Amino acid sequence: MNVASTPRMRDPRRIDIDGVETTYFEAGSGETIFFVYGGHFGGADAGSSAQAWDLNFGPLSSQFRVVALDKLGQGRTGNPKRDEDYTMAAVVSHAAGLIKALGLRDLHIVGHSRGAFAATRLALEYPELTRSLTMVSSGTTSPLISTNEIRLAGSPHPFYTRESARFTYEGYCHDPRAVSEDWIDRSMEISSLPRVPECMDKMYGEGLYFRTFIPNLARLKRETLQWLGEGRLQRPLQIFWGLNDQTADVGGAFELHDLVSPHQRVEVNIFGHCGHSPIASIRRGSTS
Amino acid sequence: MPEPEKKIIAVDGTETGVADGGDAAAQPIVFLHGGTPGITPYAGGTHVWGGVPGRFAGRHRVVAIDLLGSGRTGYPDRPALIDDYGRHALATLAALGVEGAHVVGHDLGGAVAFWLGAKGGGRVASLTVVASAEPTPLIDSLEDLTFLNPPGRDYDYEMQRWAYDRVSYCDRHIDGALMAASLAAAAAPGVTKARHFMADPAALPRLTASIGRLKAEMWTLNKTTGWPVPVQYIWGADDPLTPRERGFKLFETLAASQPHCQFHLVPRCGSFVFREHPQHFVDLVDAFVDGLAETPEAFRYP
Repeated sequence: MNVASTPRMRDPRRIDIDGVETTYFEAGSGETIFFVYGGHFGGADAGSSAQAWDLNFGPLSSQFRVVALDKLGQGRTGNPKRDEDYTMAAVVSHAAGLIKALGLRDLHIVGHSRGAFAATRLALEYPELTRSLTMVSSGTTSPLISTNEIRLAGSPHPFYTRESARFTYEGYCHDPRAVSEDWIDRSMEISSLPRVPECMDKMYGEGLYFRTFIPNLARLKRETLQWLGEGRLQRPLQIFWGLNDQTADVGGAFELHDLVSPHQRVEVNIFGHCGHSPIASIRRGSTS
Repeated sequence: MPEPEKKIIAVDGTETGVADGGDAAAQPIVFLHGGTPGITPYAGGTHVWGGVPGRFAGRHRVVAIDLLGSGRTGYPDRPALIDDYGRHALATLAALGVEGAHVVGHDLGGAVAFWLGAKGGGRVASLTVVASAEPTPLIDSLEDLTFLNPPGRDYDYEMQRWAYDRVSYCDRHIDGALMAASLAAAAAPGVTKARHFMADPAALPRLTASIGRLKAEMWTLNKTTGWPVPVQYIWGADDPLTPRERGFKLFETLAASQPHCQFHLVPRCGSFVFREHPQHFVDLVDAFVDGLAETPEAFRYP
């Protein structure tokens, strides 16, 4: 199947999860792959959504049931209801809420970047729902230092313009040609939703980013790395990384391998001429 | 589709063991085994691939070659250098009419694969290099003790089984078929001749030097016109012979100029990735080869 010509993900579905109107996509049948894309509410990439997986969704749906959600406060899913829910912990609970509401189980959970951290938490907190875990280029999960703020600094363009979206995505990618107009279109559709400025105001106007989100993530990360090192991930792990990722050093793939491999099978797959989004290169699911 | 058929052909006057089968009209996959004849304490040859080449027979032409001094292939009247191995493999491909092949090389076969990548022209479409220490940057690496002081003698059962076990994560793949074929190979005329010449202590340093010259060419190509063919690296996480750092450095180096490079670390696995985890290995080769076929023209450079 030609990945490059795969059509966009269609037919968003809606469901209420704990009072938050939630969007997700579903296709195919067979063992279930559950996708968690990257970024967080109010981040540099406010336009990210489940459609980040559109190169993978179609090809994998021929062999698997594939499910991808718009995370809490992102895409076409509503913002957190309460100030204290502007956390990674709430993002994980919300995703678990969707999994349970849909009755999904035996999941191959695949997460990219910040979404790989959420995916790791899902696998650790809900082992009864998890069959395997796949992490893709995740500075958030890596024990090393993330450099995305350095890499993405100094955009000459106003926020939420096509130019600023392109600047951000080209910063993440190794080859700027990978940033298609379609990708920018998709991003602009999301970042122009009325939900987005509300969320940004909470995060930066009211200061929830540094007051709530970052401290919660720091505490969760400490706990997560400790749990991984203790052998609490009782499922196989597969790691994908772009060799040329300027935002999350590829050494993180081996750090995570070395943390988990005394306890579990860990595959490492690294792609050359590839930045933060090796997603287009993932051709086989996490079941091999 | 026919399973690869074992036969002996004459290549520039050298008797050469090959296995050839699969879909004769489809894109070929070529397998180059490992083991340095007369040095490595097991007798390599096409037999070490086990059932893996046959797994591709439905979708590809499948060719496995006994390299010089291995399996049923002859050996020159002096210690062979990497150029001898490379020229012989290239001549074998020419004799079989193989073009545009995906070349899979293990151990010394990985160095031969790089030789073919540099000099094989249109006969090579891509390389898959498996647990191959020889082509990796060697400067300042530690003395390798993996095969120090093998037990047994003269490539007997004890010596060869020990050698296979020494570079495996688990010995389950060392079956009767592998041992029988390895014992038969050890007695073949080419192998005996290789052992005779490589017994000279000056022989191995000359082979190593020739591989050093090949690597100098690789690094030069990398800095000038670019490494010419896609390469994927498949490394076993528990292989004492080929530490992952060296494989990763090789991958990282050539990825500077060659866009289609991948590095895969396979868990709970030694040097013989294709024997310890055959399905995983087949999936990786399939995915790489399919991915190349799907790559848009604009991304095909250098």
